[in-house]
Amino acid sequence: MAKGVLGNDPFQRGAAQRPSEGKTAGTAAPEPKKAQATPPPTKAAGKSAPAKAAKKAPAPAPKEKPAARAAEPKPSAAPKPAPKPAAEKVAAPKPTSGAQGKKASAPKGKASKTPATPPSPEARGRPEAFSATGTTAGTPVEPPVTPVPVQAEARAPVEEQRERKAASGSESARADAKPQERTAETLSAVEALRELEEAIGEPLPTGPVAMPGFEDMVEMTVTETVTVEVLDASQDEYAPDSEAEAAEEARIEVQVEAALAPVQPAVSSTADAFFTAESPGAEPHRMGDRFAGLLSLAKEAAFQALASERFSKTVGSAQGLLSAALTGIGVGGGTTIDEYGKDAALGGVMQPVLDFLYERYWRVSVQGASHVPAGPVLLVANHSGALPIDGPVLQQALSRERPDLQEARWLAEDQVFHAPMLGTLMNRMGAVRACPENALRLLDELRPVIVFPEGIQGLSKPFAQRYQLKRFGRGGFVKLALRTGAPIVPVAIVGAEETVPLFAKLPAGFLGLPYLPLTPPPLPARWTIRFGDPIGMGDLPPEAAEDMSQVQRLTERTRESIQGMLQALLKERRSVFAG
Amino acid sequence: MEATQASKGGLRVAVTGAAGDLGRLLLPLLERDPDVESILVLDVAKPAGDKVDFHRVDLTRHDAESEVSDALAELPVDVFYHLAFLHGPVRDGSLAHELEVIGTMSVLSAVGRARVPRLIVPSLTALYGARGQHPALLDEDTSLSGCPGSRYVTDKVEVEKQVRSFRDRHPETRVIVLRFAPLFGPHMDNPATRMVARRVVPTLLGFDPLWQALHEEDAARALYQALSANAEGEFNIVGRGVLPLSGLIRQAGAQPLPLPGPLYRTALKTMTSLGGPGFPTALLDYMHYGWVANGERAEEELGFIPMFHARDAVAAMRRS
Repeated sequence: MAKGVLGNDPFQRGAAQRPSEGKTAGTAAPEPKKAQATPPPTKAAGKSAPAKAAKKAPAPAPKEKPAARAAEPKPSAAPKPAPKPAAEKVAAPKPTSGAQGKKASAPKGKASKTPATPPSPEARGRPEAFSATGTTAGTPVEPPVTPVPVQAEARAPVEEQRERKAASGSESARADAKPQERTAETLSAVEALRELEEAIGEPLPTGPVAMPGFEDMVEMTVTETVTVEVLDASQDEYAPDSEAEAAEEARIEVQVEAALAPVQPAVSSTADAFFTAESPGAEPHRMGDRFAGLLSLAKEAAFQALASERFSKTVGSAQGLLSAALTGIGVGGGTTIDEYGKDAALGGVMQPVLDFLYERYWRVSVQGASHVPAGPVLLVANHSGALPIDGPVLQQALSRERPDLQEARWLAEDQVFHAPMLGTLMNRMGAVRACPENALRLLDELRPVIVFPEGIQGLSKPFAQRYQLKRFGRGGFVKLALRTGAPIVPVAIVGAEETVPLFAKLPAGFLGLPYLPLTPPPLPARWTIRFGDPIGMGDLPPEAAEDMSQVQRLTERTRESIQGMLQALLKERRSVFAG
Repeated sequence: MEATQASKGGLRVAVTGAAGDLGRLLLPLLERDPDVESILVLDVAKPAGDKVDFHRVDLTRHDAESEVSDALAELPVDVFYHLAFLHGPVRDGSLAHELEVIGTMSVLSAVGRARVPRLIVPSLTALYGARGQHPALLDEDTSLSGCPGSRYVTDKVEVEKQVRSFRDRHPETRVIVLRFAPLFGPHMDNPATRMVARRVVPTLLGFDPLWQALHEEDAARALYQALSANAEGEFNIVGRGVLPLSGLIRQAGAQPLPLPGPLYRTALKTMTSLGGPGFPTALLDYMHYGWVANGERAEEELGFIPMFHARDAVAAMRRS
């Protein structure tokens, strides 16, 4: 915002003036040409402008020089740069616009028209203007001036004539008023700049701060080229050409309006419109130029740090994947394995991979993790996706959201647990074979135990039936809960079905598997895990585990709770992959 | 504990298979123990030792039972160690069967007749077999499903059955069965040590079951603690921690070489049938599924706490 404010004042005037002047000076016809022509020169100007910004003192000089060079081959273009500074003091702004147009338009025909308008008054003013600029800016502007004036002067007469034709008395009056306004504006601009500095936190060298204001004054007042340069400089940064063109068109319209409408009111309105479009780009550009050195340094340092971190992360992930693969084929050779088969060292190596998958790839969001009570608890979740990755993800979620709990383990059905490679890897990552003995032992250790009562049925259902719960086994988890008194926490997992959709089941009896899932590599679907309210066993005695009707009732209750949460999550989900 | 120490006018101990792996481990401990008065060795070879009272008994002979009975009648004992089991490569299957199954039958009947107060028999956790249906940790009451393809295991399962029925028939005898995890150590020679003795060990591609390992010193201590422990029944004697098969092979200084199961099985069968090098096909089962036994009961009731982690036990192999 600050930028906009900053830019608005000085630029508005310039812009406002330009159009009116341009129209007054040049006829409506030439304007479009100018507009079209302007973009290229503006770019060139933009380049030179940054240079100025970077080098405070030398800044004005380089600008003029290139302009002068460009002008020399094309006589029309040459005079403009010179006249602009000169024009500052006089009524310059309007002529400048014309000048720009001419410059921009390489064709001499245009140039001949345009140059005539602006420079004429400037011819006299130039030396003075330069001296003024030099003093104000404290920069050596003179060297460039000298070459310019000659050419400018040469054309000056023509320009003068045209200018006079075009210029009205009102303009001259305005011209007088404008410089004052501009000075005020520049002052405000300077203040704004300072504010910006503060906001940015990096001190803009005071010199340059003063400079831009003055430059603006000079350039704005005298030449549109300067203003255009500054404005167009935005192109340097990021503005696509099309935008610039659009801006140009807008300006043309503005100019037309200005020409048609009474000057003053048109000025303000047009200025607003103009600046809303272009000023924001202009400011950052200038700032960027100022800080080009500093920023590039900082950027480089930051980038290097980032790169090294990235690099190490990448290496870590690669190591993790490699060790996972080795573990899978059965040559992992870990020595830090607990009695269930979880390899702590592998977990450490795999952590970068898991972090990436969890945070970046699947962007797991967890809801209601506080519902999980401490101590032994059965987390009953829906089993989904062609590959059993919901177990490890749920375990990760729990260890991240509830570090106060004991490390959770998930129970894997035999078809997964004894699958070659997959089962071995899962076991090393924390899967435990699903059987009552293991579950009881885990609960005795006060661990949360993750259960997928659907078993292989949940994994092998076709994609069309995603998120529809299958039969909940024989209620083994309810029996466990009744025997141990551990509460049941229903958990709904959304995202696994789309991450590894099951397209087909290939026969794989020769591998000792029920089937081989045909699935793409894990897709970046967004995951959501919701923990429901615990279902307590209440005052039911452990003997209730033998009461099949009681067991089935509790099983159904858990199932409905999970299905309800699934429906809710699916309804809330706006996009499968995005977000 | 109190009771046994009170009656310690000096323990008289009988040992069969004193020249075997376990016997060689146990005898020095018994020699050193001041409470042990005499050691009656019933074997075919006489071991060294001051307390040793050697009686030559060949358990593979049909008259083994009478010989043992005579020896026990002559020198009554308080504790009987029946350690006469084969762990080395079994060249002659029928001889092994005679020694282990028939020999144990003789010993048990003699012990029953002599009303020996305490009988200690070693066994193996391998008798549980490696099965997909097994839980992560096998308790002592898990059925001994063994390994159908292995005579080595099947014979020992048969022995355990005999011992169990003996226990039922002779409640006056305190029977302690120690089921050892695979034994590793410089002096051990069993299928597991022979497996890791080679430089490259073929394993099953995609499988890496959990193994346990017991250091020979821990095994000796367990045997020795059974001498005076106030406990009865079966105990899993396992080392600390578990290792995946690949880790165990690495720790022993060898390299695992995963081979696709069907190919591996066929190749091994062919080589075995041709009498070439290779190891028992039965080991493949133990390379497929885990067989981790739970040693908590031995810790609680027998007071046996292993000193060596599995990786140390296996690493001891490498140093030897």
